Amino acid sequence: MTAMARDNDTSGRAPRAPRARWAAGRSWWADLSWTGRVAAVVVLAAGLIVVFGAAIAPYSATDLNPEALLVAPSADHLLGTDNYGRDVFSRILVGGRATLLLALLCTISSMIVGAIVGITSGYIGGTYDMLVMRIADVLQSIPSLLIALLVLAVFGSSIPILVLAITLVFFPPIARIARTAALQVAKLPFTEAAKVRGEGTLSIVFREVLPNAAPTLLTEAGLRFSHSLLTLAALGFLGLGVQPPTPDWGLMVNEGRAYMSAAPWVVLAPAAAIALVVLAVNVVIDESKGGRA
Amino acid sequence: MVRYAAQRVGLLLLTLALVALVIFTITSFLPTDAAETKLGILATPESLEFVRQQLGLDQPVLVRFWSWFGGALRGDFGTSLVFQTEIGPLVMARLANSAVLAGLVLLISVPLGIVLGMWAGSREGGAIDRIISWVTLTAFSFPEFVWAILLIFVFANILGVLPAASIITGSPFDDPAKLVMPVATATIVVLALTIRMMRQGTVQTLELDYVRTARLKGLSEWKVFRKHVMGNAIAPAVTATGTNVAYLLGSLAVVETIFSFPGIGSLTVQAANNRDVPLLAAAVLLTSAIVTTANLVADLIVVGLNPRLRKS
Amino acid sequence: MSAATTAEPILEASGVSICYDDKRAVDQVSFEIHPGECLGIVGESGSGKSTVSLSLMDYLPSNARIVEGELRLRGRDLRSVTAHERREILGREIAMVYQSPMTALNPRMKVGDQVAECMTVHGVSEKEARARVLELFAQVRLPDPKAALARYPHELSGGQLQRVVIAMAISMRPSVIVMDEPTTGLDVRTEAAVLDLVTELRTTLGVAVILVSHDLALIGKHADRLLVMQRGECVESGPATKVLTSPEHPYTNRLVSALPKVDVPHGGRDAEGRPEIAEEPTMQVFELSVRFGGRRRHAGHTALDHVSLILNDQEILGVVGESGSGKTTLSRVLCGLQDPTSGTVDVFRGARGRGKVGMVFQDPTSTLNPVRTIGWTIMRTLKVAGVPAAARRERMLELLDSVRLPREYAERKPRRLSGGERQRVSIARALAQDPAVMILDEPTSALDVSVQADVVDLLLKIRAERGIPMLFVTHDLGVIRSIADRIVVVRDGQIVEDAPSEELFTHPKDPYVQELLAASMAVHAVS
Repeated sequence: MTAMARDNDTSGRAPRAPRARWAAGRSWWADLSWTGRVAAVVVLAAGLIVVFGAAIAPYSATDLNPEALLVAPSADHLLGTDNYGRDVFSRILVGGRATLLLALLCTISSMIVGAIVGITSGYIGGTYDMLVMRIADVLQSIPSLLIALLVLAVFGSSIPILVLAITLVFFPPIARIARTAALQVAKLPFTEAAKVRGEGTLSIVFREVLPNAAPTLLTEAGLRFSHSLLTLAALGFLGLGVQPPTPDWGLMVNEGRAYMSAAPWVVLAPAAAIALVVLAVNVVIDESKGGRA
Repeated sequence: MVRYAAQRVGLLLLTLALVALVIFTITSFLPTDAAETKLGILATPESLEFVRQQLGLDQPVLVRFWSWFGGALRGDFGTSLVFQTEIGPLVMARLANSAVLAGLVLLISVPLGIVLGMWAGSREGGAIDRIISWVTLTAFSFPEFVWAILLIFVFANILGVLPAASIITGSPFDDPAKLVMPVATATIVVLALTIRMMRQGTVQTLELDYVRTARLKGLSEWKVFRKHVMGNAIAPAVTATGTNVAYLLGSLAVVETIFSFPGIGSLTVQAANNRDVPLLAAAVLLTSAIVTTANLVADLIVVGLNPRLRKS
Repeated sequence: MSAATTAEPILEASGVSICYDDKRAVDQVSFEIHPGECLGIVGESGSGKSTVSLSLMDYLPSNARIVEGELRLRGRDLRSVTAHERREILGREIAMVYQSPMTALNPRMKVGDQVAECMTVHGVSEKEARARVLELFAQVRLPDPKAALARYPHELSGGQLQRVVIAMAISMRPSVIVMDEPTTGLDVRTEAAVLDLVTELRTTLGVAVILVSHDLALIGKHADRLLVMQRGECVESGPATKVLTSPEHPYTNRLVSALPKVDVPHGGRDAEGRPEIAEEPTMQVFELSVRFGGRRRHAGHTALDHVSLILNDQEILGVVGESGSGKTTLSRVLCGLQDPTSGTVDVFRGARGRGKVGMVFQDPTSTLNPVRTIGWTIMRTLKVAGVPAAARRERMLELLDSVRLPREYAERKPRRLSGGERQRVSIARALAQDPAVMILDEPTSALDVSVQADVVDLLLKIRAERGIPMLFVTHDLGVIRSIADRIVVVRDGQIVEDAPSEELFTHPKDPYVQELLAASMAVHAVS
C-alpha cells in the first residue's frame, strides 16, 4: 500500500521505478507472461512449418481430387477439402512454408537495406542524410500496398519481384528507426572517443554504433516480419502475390470466399492461420519490449 | 508561421513531383509500350513507328515525364487502356466515393482513438489498459480482408441484416446500409493503431518532470491531465493521423475490392490486375497527393499548436 | 508564523524506513525542522537522500513504500491523510523546488500562468493570483517581472527558471520547502545568487527549508543543521559548522577531507613533491578561433576568439570557465573532434592529429561503449595506436594496474563498474594511445566527492610517473586549485587571465576572475 491517502486513490503517484530487465542479464523467457510463452510456442511452430511443412503434409497440396470436393473436416482430412478436392491442411502446411519463407526473405532484405541506409545516414549526417531522408519521405508518401501493386503490375509477380517490392516499401521506415538509433549513439562520448583514438568512420559505424542499435533493430525486424506477412497475404488475396500452383494463404482465402456458407472451413483455415501467426509474433514483440509498446 | 506554411506547400509540390517521377520510372520498365498495346496483332515495325510518334513515345524520357506530370496537374491523365475512357473523370468520381469512406473512418477512429488511448495510458497496467491493449493487438493482427470476411459471414450470411456487397451506382449516401461494413472493416485496424499510439504518448507524457510539478502543486489528477497532459499528447496524435491516412488509403484497396465498392482503391486493384498502366499510375499519383496533403495539414497543425515552434 | 519563538518543530520524521520492492533504501531516519530553519540532507549517490525528499512530498514510485516510522507536519500524521487532504497540503503547506528547472515546467504554458495555477488550485481567485504572481516575480528578483509573466520556459535561462520555480513554491506561503539539488547545473555565480535568495526568503517569510544535495560545501554554507546519509542510514547529524569542522563519524570525516577547498592553498592538498615546471612547450596553441553558424539570418556564434596558450612538459594546466565560455570547444579542438576556423595547434614530440592527444570525457555513464567489455575497449585503442597483437593483452592489463583497477575488470562490461571506476578506465584508454598530451574535460564533475579526490590522486600519480602534461578543463574552482600548476580563465571565447595557480587565487587581476572567486567562496568555502 502506498504511504499516504487512506482511500484507494492510486492515481497521481509517481511512475513506477524501472526494475532490471532481460538486457541486464535476466533470461528472456523468464520475463514473458504465460500468454507471451504461448505466443512464442506458436511462433516456434510456424518456424517448424517452414522447415518441415512439405515433409509432414499428409496429402499433396496441388493434386485435384474430384471425388472429395468440399469435404468437411474429418479424421481423413483434418481441415477438410476445398472446391477442387485438395486437402486444406496440406495446403496450409505447404502454403505456409512458401508464405512464411517469403516473409522472412522480405524481412531480411528490407532490414539489411534499411539498417545500412539508416545507420550511415544518422552517423554521417550532412547532405547525404538529407538526400536519404528526402527519398524516404517520397517513398512514404505512397501507401505501401499501392507501390507494391505498381511494381508487380509492371514487373510481374515472381518471387524476386515480390521481395523487391516489399523491400522498396519497407526500407524507409526501417531506415528512419535505424537513423534515430544511430543519432542517439553518434553524439555520445564513447563514439567520439573512438574518433579521438583514430578510428575510421566505417569502423566506428560497425564496431561502436551498430551493436548499440541492434536491440532496437531486432524489435523492428519482428514487426516487419508481421507486416510482411500481412502485406503478402493482402497481395495474395488480390491475386498479385505468389502465383499458383504454389498455395498461398491469402489466395486461398480469396478462392474460398465463394463457398463461405456451404464450406466455411475453406476460408476460415487460411484466415485463421494468417491471423494466428501475426498475432503470435506481435505478442512476443510486445512482451519483449517490456509492455511499453 | 505564414512563411513556414508557404515553404511547406512548396515542399509538397516538390515531393509530388518526385513521387510522380518514381511512379513514372517504375512504369517505364514495361516491356510493351502503349503503341504495341494499341495496335495489338496488327503491329508492324512501320505502323509502330507511326503510332509511337503520334503518342509522343519517341520523345526523351524527361520530356515524356514532364508532359505526363504537367497534364496530371491540369487534370488530364490520358486514356485508360482497358476502359477506353478518359482517366480524369473516372478517377475523380471514384475518389469522391472513397473520400466518403475514408472520411467516415477518420471521423470515428480519430476522436475515439484519442479518448480510448488516453484512458488506457492514464490507467497504465490496470485492467482497462490491459483489456484495451489486448483488443487492439488482436485487431491489427488480423488483415483487413479477414475482418471483412468475418463481418460478412456474421452480418450478411448468418444474420442477414447488412448487404454482402456494396455496389453503388449513385451517391454513396443513397443506401447507407452499404457503407456500414466497409467503414467498420477499415475502422477496426485504424482505430486500433490510433489507440495504441495515443496510449504510448500518454504514458510517456505522464512520466515527464512537469507532470510531477503539476501534481505536487496540489492539482487533482483530472486537472493535471486536462491542463498539462492532453495538450502535449495531442501533437503526436495529429502527426500519427497523417501517417494513418497513408495506411488507410492503402487498406481501402483491399476493403473496396472485397465489398465491390466503386472507389479509387478498387480501381487501383483492377488497373493492376489488367496491367492498365496509365490508369494505375494516375490512381497511385492521386492517392499519394492526398497522403502528402494530409501530412502537410497535420504538420501545420502541430506547428501551430506549439508555441516554441510557432515563433521561430 | 514567527521565525524564532516556537520551539515546536514544523516537520518531524521519526524512524522512517522506505523500501523499494524488497530492498531497503532508507533505514530508520529521524530529523525535525523548525520554522525559519534550514536543514541540509547530504549524501552521495545511493545514500537515499532523494528518496527521503520524495517521501516528504508523498511522491514515491508505486513500487516503493514507507514501511515504518512517522512523518508529522505540525503534529498531523502525514501517512494517514485522505487523498483530498493530501492535495490540500501539497503546494499550500509543503512545496518543492526541483533539480532541473528546464524540465520542471510545462513548455507549452506561460510561466506566469503556471505560477498562478499553484494559487488558483488552492482557492485563490484568478484576479488575485495574477497580481500575486507579479509580486512574487519581483520578490525572487526576476529581471523585468512584468514581461516575464508572458514568457514560455524556453525563453528564460536556467537561473531565471529556477527563480520561477521558487516563486511557485513560496506562492502559498508554505511552512516547509523541500529543495532537491536546486542549483545543480547552474553557473557558480547564479548558484550564489539563488542561494542568497533562499536565505533571504527564509528570514523574511519564516519558512523552513530542507536542502537536499550531494554538495557538502554548498550545504555547509547555507544550512543551520546537517544530516549526513550513507547507504540509507543517517550516520551523523548536528549543527552544520560542528559537523564540518569536527566530524565524528568516519564517513563524514572522509567526505570533509575529500572536499576540494577553494579557499585553502592547493585545495588543502599536500603540494610536496610536485615537479618544478620548466618552460618546455609540449603543446602550443596560437590564435585559435572557432566560429559556428553564420547561415542566412543567423548571426553565427564565436566560440573561441584568437586563443593562445602553451602547455609545458609535465605541467597540469587548468582551463576554467562558466558554461558557454568556450572551454569545452577548446578541448574538442585540441583532441581533433572539432576543426578550428583559423589558428594553429602544435603538439611537439610527434605530429598533431588523432591518436597523439588523449581525451577523457565528462560523463562516466556514456564514456564507454555499453556493449563492449573494458578489455575490448582498451585493446582496440592499443590496436589503432599501432601496438602489435602479441603485446596488446599484456599492455592492457598493465594499464589497468596503473589506474589501480583489478585485472579481472577486463572481462566486465561498463554497467558493472561504478562511476569512478569507469572514469579510471577512461583514463587508461587515453593512456593506451601513448599520448603526448592528455585533455580532460570536466572529468570529476559527475562524480561523488569522495571519488573525485581519488581520481585527482590518480592523475597526479600518472603525471609523476610518466611526465605527461595535462589540460584540465573545469568550472569547479576547488578541484582545480588542488591539482593545477597554472590556470587560464576563459570567458566568452577569450582568455582573460593566465597565471600560476596559487597566484590566481590569492591575487586575481581580472575583475571577472575576482567575481568568480568571490562567488565560489560564497557558495563553497567551508571555513
